[in-house]
Amino acid sequence: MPSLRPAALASAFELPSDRRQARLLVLAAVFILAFAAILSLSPAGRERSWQVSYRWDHWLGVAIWLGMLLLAHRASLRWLPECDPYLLPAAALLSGWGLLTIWRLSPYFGMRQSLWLLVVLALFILGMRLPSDLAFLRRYKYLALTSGLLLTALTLIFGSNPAGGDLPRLWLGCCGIYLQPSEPLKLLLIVYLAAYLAGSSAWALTSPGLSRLPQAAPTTLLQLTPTLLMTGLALLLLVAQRDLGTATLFLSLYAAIVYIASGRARFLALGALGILAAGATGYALFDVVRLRIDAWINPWLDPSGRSYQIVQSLLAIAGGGLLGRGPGMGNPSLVPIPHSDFIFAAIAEEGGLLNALGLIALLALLTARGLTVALNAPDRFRRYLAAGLTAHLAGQSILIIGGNLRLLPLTGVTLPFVSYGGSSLLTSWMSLLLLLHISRRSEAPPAPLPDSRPYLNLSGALLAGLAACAIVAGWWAVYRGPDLLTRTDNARRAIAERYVLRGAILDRRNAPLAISTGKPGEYQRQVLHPPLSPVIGYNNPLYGQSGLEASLDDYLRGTRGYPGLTLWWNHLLYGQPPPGLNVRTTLDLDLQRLADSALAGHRGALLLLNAQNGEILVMASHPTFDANQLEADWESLIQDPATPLFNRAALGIYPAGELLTDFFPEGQVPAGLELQPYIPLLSPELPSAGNQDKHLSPLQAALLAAAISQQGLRPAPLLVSAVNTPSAGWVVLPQGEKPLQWLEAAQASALAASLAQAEGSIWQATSVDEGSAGELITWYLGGALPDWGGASYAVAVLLEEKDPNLAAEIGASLLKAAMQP
Amino acid sequence: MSGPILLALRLLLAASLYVFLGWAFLSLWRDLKQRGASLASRQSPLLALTSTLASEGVPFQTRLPELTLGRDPACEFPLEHPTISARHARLFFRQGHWWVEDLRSTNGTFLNDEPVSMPVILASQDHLRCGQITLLIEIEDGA
Repeated sequence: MPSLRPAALASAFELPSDRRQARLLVLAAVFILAFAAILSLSPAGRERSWQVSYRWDHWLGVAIWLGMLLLAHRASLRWLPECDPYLLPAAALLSGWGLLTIWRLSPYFGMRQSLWLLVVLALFILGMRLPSDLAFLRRYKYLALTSGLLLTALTLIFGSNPAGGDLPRLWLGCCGIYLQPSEPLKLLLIVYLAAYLAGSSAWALTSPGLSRLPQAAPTTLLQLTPTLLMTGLALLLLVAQRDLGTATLFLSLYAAIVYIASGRARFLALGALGILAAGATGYALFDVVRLRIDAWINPWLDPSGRSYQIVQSLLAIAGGGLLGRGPGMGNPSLVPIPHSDFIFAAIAEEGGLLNALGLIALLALLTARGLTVALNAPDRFRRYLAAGLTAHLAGQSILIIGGNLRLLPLTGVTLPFVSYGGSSLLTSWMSLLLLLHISRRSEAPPAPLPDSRPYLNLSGALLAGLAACAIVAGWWAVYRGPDLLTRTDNARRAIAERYVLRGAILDRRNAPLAISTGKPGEYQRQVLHPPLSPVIGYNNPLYGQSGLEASLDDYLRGTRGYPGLTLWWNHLLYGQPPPGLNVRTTLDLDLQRLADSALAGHRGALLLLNAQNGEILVMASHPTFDANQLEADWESLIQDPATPLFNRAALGIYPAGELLTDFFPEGQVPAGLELQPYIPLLSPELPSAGNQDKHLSPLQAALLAAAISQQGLRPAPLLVSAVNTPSAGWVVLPQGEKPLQWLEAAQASALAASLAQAEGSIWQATSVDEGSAGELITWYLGGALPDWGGASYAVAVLLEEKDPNLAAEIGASLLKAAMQP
Repeated sequence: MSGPILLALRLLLAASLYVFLGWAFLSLWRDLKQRGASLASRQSPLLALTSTLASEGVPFQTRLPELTLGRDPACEFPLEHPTISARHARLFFRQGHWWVEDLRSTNGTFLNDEPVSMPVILASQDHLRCGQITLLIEIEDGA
């Protein structure tokens, strides 16, 4: 039929408004269903396995959302034809998004919020039958506001807090249902102000196109007296309740509505002054205000105390980055009260900057449409009402998002439609209901508008506030994010370690020394030969890292040794590094056990190394500790005068004057000994030990022994030999140092020969040194003779006592065990 | 593995959000364009003014939505006469009608001999007197 052609040609954008609303609602439903599907699957992604318990409970919320929105859409077509087609879908999307985020954070609150949504949307649908001229609101403005004030006043007497404790008592509760009267009070105040100002003749206007009649200032002030009284009463109530966030909002709303009605910017200035003055007074009077403002000005001073919330919120936003971890796969619960005040941080962590900007854009859409509704409103009451409601929704969003982002001081208000809370949900949806009523395109043309500047300025200010939130979100998520995430109070790293298998530390024959056990989400580190703890160290979310766990951390955690693309892909998919890599050390577990049992009960250190290639087979430090019991023993360990946490073998510095004099009677101490006893991959920080004051570490002593066995050639010490990469198998790690000719070959050989044992193929020496405080220590050095045909070994034993025989016995037995396997 | 599936869903999530926003803003923009176009095409009806001053009797015709009468040559309809103020009166088209408003002229504006103290609607064949000049109003039909 040719008559259909123009319709077919017409662009999809020229749909009637009900079709537009339907289309946007379908898109919102796609979003909600995708979100719910991700949430269901998220445990599989988190634990990287299909054998997980999936989450299904939130689908109940999805069903309620879908059902109620379908009903609301139908009802709006019937009762509110020609209403604005953007408002309902945007609010529906925000509500569903918030609902699922709350389900994700806590199924208990999710269930409650779902029931609230059911009730609130039922009221919303019923409310569509109200007459769209809203005359009843206008007529009963005082009644409405007074009952709101009375209800709020009741909380002073009967108030409670669902969370219990010493928190502000802002709720009226009965039988597990709580209502926060200050939320609907906001709405009632806006209605009252709009009705009063529309009825007042202060700014009465004549026919269109004429300039305002001049008004004397005293008249204006007189006209405002009742509103000042009522608003002041409401403010007093809120301050008495310590609901200071809402009080701030009231003050801003009052200034905004009076500005809209009067067109005089001085009311805005007065409002801003009022807020500043209130802030200053609050800073002086209330601890809460002082705390919030201090935490805002400098959160980094006290990140674990007063500004814990805001720092954790910023960390969550930084953790989300650009794309987010995906619903159900981040850790938004690390921020206190994530389902209410900090829901924006939770959304930004799991949805990333991408979704956070989308959320802000949705709020901008609501704001822009709301003010358009105000401009098209058929009379002044509805115009002021629409502008006030929009200012309320947008202003409250800016206040709490700005608070989450440290753009503004934190105020405990909710994010409209999104945050947990029945009162907040009710207020938001009732605001939307009124906006939809006002938006109906009726026969009546828009009311005359004397001056459009206040509306332009208000929308400009609100949109600029939202834009500032967007920019600051980008700043924290992308620009400052990587720096923030390295902070020690970022628990995400420790949590990721419970989900990603940490690589094992192996001995030279791939026998495990330290492994992670358990299943994803509960991985625990275990040192299998606990006496090695001073060498292997620990990796603890509370106490940090030490030893090999610290120096090999990037391999063990899987952030090194993989191709860059793999790392990026894993981070994108799971927000975690790939599984950690196993690292092979040069230690020999059998010899290590021998050394540890020999040293048990003594203070001292033992090092056995391959004199040819510098591989360390044994590194023992006593007294030792058990890294598996770190949390139980920590207090006693750090107070123990015997310093069990300290790795004496590598880091201990002991007097060695006698020892060196025995070896080099003419004082020709090899210059190379001044080398710092640096072991690659063990610890970067070592005390300096030159031989000017004749001090050696056990490691240096062992290297000296190796040089004597190897014709003066000191090998480069080596503790970690290879890492098992998925692409290339075992990859040998580069040696940190080069071998060095420490002694002249003849001198070394002569020294070895002079110390040679009669019965064996080894040389050995002992000496007793005295420290500056008079304490005695025993050194034992030994090694294979230079002409020994097999693998050549060198050993150094240090005892913090005078017992040369014991030192010689231990040293020689280890040397023999190594040389005759 | 679950990662790629979840990533696809996450991309779908972001896509649906931005399609929602994109579609909403695009259709708003189309609305705006359409409204602008329809407003631009809605012209004020042709207004013809025949002044007693112009001896040749050729009417002044305009489709401007708003014009000022006065002695000032910058006025859209200049009238050179001593009884006319520099900016004497304003004619404008609003809500489907032509209106006249006196701009506090010295000698006043009269519509069919009634003084114009507030904006009033003009009709065809009305006589508008400014000072000693009388103008015959003719408005095109069918607007």
